[in-house]
Amino acid sequence: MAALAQSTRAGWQPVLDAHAELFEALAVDASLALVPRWRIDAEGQRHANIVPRTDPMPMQLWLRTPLAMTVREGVYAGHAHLGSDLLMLAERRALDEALAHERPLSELKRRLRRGELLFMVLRTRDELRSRGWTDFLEALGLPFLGTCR
Amino acid sequence: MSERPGEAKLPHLFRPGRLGRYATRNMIKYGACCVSNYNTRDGHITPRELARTRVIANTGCGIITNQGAYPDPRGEGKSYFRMVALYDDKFLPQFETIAGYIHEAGAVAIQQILHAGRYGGIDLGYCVQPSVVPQTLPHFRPPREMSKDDIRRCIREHVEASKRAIKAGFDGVEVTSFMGYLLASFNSRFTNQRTDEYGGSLENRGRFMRELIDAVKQALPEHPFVIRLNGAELMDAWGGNSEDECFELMQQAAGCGGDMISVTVGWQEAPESSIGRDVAPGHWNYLAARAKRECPNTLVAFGNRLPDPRMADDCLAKGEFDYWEVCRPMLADPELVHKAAEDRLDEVRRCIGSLNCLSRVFRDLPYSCTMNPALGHEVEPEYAVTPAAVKKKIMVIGAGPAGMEFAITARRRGHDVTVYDRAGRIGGNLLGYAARDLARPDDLLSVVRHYEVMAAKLGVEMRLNTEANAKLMRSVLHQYDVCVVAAGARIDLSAYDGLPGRERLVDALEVAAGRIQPGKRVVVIGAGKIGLVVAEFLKKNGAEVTLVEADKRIAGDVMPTFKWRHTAWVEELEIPVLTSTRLARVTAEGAVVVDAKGVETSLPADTVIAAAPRVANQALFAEFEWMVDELHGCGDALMPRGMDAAIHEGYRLGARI
Repeated sequence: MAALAQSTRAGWQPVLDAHAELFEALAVDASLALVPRWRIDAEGQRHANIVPRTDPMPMQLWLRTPLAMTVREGVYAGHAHLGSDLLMLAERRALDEALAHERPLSELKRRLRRGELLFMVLRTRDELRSRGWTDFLEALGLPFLGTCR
Repeated sequence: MSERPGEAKLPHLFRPGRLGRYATRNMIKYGACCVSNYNTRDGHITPRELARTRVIANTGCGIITNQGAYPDPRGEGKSYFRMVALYDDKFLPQFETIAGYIHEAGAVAIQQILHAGRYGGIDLGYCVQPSVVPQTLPHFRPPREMSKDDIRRCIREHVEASKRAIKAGFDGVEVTSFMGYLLASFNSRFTNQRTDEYGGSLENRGRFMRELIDAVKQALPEHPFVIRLNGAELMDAWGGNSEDECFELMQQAAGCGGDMISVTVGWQEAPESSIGRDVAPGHWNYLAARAKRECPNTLVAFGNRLPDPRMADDCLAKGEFDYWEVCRPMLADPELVHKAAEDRLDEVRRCIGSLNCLSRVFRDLPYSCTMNPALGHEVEPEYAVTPAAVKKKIMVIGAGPAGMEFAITARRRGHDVTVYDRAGRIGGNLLGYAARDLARPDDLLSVVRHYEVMAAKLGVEMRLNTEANAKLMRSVLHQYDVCVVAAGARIDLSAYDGLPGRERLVDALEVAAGRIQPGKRVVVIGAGKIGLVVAEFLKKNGAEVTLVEADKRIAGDVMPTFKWRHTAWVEELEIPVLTSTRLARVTAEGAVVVDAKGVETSLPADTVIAAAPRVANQALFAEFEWMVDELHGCGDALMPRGMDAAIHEGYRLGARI
């Protein structure tokens, strides 16, 4: 993930800039954290990074600043410590491969459906709405996922 | 009752069965497919619900499962806005009434206890789970971890609710361990991250479920116990259980004395579809067959995306499962089983998998059904089809869903009905739309076939290939008492008047109907449902397609449960979409569009198709106003919407005219 965060950080900024309209309504300080899907423990066991607390690891942060959605680096220690609104857990290389695609955001969406990315919400629907996430969530098709369809 | 003609044709479906000590008259179980949202906010059953359940009781099923009730006074198990409760005796009188309806109709009565867990707590602002695993959908509440005391209390509440159901007169209970609800979230590797005896191994994860089954069975040893379990969660890509694990859990449930396993598919948040019309009927049957193989001594009920009684009979013949569990098809047509028994399957209104029912439930509205306008209105006499006090001669303009629904409803009431349409076939714009649908054209075309069958059986006179205009009206002057304009809607090409190159624009409905063949490079203006269907179809068939939408988002007029399907198709087919963009002009080279910032872009195209805006075909209202006693309208001819509104308005007008 460290490599992923380094290699894609610069790459995602132009993508966010190109889709600035999705982030226009966001509250300043609204953010989405991108972290590895799994962590490996000392015995080599794989664990999903969906528990509240975990060992610190590098993460990528899409943070709404007064000017724009900006890519930053950060440290992830479990979602209980995360101030972000949204969390995206990515399989190895999923973000890099999405970025290499002609339309990275569309590819992100496809990979989300394929399960290579896991998207989690850390605030209630009303909070997300009031913080301006509606356009982005709708662009990802998230409100409409679900087997009841 | 002597055998009815269709029963011999479906001998496995209509043979008698047994659930515990109760005989069932056939092998059909009415499934508690989703809650109705017809009840009070505090969990009491309403007269509306009672009228609905009376219809359910009389569907002819051998077993009827009443919709899920939450078992806890806190409402942690409550997942739907107007869900019924069973945590106190104060709720009993209406449950007694429902059990009475079911028994009067000759069926075995099962009450479902539904603790929604991860999807619950709708009034609380939190939900309970085995572990604090955040939600993947914004719709649901933030999680809280259940303690062991919470688990023990929850088991007691399930036992008490089950005993209460039996006290009300139900014969047995059904517990939900599927779709991401509480027990399912303990069963799953995804949501269960616990390190105590309720987490970790599959044995541990299934412990809560086993303890709960055991507790209910001990409390009610004489009464059948049904448990609903996933054959597939469809969550494995996100770290959920594999199918193998799901079947091991089934064996655990069977080993604890479950009398019947109801096999279902998918979680609410699963990234793939399980019951929509993009899934082929019969697709999931293998899960039921495996359940039967792995739990041979336990009854297996199944019906996910298995809407056809003939298919179900075939599965029963092969021993793939024991009971056909069906619900949504009987929302669409409560007479389904009777029509099957009477060899009238051609009259069945098929569930078309539009999932209008769920779209509404997830908007906290009472469920309704595109195909059954009376659903949820059974308590209202105004929705009943009763003989007309005055028999009238009625002409209907338009053989689309609105006109045909009106025609067959009015005819059933005794009116004399003639339908005029300029096309050579029933269906209106739906025909072209259905033929281009990527999901399952047969589902939508079944609507057309239903109207064809019913018009012929009921004696509705069809005047096809006949244009309705003032000349026609003059030729039939004073022959009709009533005229109903159901002429649908069209693409409003006049909205482009003054636009350079306007004459080059092509009508999307003409393309959908196959009357215009577009070139290989296409720009579609308007990414609502018509534009999307046309664009997807053309792209699938090799054209280069670009979608242009004036709004910020596409699919604005698509039903919520199907919106994702179109956005996914657009992505999968790699159709470029320009939102917040308008058509500026059409040239010989293609379309020139302009975005919200005023930036122009040239899109090379052989054909530029207008799929928006739509306008109602209302001209006949003015033309006919002084030519007939009563003049009415229904469907898109009043305001462009869709099939749901068309069918419902046609029915309502037909039921009261």
